[in-house]
Amino acid sequence: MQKNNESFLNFEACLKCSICNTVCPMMEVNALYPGPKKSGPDQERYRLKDPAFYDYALKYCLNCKRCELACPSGVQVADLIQRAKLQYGSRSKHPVRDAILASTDFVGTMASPFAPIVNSVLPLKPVKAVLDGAFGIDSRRTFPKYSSEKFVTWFKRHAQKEQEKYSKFVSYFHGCYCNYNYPQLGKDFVKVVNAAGYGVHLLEKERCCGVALIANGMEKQARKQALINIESFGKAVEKGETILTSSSSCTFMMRNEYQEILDLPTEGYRDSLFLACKWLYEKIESGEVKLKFKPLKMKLAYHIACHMQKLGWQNHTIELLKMIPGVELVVLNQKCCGIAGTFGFKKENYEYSQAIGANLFADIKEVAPDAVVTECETCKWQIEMGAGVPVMNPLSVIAAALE
Amino acid sequence: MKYDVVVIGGGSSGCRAAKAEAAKGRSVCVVSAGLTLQATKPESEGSVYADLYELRKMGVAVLRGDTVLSGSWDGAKLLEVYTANGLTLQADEFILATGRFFSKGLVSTMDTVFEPVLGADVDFPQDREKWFNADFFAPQPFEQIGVRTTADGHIFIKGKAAQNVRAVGKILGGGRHAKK
Repeated sequence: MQKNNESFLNFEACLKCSICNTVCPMMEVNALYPGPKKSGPDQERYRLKDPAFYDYALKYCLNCKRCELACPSGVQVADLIQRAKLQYGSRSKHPVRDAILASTDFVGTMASPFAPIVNSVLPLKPVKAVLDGAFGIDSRRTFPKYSSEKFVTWFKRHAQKEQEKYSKFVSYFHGCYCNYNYPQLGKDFVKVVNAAGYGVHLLEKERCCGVALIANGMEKQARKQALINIESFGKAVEKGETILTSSSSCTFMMRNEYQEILDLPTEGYRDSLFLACKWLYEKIESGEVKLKFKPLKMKLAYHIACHMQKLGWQNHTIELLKMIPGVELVVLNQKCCGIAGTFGFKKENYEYSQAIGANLFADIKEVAPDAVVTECETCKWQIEMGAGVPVMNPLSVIAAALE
Repeated sequence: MKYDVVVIGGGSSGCRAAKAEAAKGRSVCVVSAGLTLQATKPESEGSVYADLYELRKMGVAVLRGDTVLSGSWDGAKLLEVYTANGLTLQADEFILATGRFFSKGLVSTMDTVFEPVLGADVDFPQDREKWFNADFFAPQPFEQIGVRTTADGHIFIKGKAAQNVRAVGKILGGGRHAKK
């Protein structure tokens, strides 16, 4: 790409070829969305002249990044749209709902102590009706369950001490889903990393990566949390520890979007922050780590989450899963599941979300696997609800296959 | 990461080459920087969609949105290539299918035309005046610009034929696209 004269997120390089429009899942189901070409580079020219040209329909962008993958000219189409949403987007019609959906740390901390109550009350019809009517959270949506013991609490009580017997360490960014909803993922992570001969440290301080905050226009809060994370990453890197994650969207946010959307410095840690599967595969490939797997008789379908594809590390996971004897692995054709984080929870988006996901659900039903494997937790909710098949993180599959 | 064949470029030619190699039972990885269209509705779309859809079914690893930046050589043998997302791909054989000017398989500047990924030798008229014909619908000489290859399609690097890298598709030059 030419370096001189480069425009903001390279929008001047757009040739209007419309390849981005052909790959946009939202355009396919929603006539109100003008598509990535118009929303990104085209309208950017107008927005720069006068913010009044901001189009409310940009709220339909899922930030799935397909447009960027398809662009032959290197235009950062999705970044242009995200930044325009933050800069010019008007206030949401459901500020309370958006804040509830986006503030994963706050809601998680509040819900955890009352998990059994929350879990049994949330699926009740009258509760759902209230959430639907008053807040705009769609009643047809299945909510993720909360865990009564947070991952961090479990780790400090049951695992932290043992970790010190190792001589090499990695830092773990567990993320909100693992901490508040599904601590088993963190337990599986610890089991796998320990089996590879490394001890696990938590980061000094960890906040939600902020991906949901950005999607809901809460830039200030996202920036605050990002700065806390960046400081912790710096300290981990100083100790010579690689920072590992188990969620693809958090990883993508922290490696790419902190810089591309929030203009925060990522150089200090970017090359030390990876998804655990990439790290593990490379350790095995270089011969440093040897893992023994027992046979696991399962038919698995691997779903490459959108942000996973943008990271480009799906082959590491695929190769790891292939190492497990007995596993029959089908790689699904990469289609968006449609939930896009908090997007699919919103009443006004529910139909679009399901219409986009329908393609993927049909593929999964055709393959008829025992479980779908994916790194993304929101894809997990959507696929479990839409296709009725259990969804596992690859780390959980590997943990189950360890001898 | 090791494959039998790595195909650089996932357009029409790259997908077809990958399919042919995979059909022989070889393990194949396709690196596709943009332009490859997704296969949401393979049955209703053109051949590129169908190819990509079929590739995944055949077990071909498809890296969409990734770019091969460079490679490392042992004499005339390409050992591995490096991608923008930080992957190292090793293979016995490589296929260069990055297309021509639009997809940046070839890059032209004021005085030269070069192949940016591996630095393959490119044949082009030294005199820039001879790159084009003023009559738009006449055969355009720039359409004939492509990488130089041996009779069986292997590329040249600095005048020496590469052992295990072949070129396919538009990067070879030829055709009458301006007229089309």
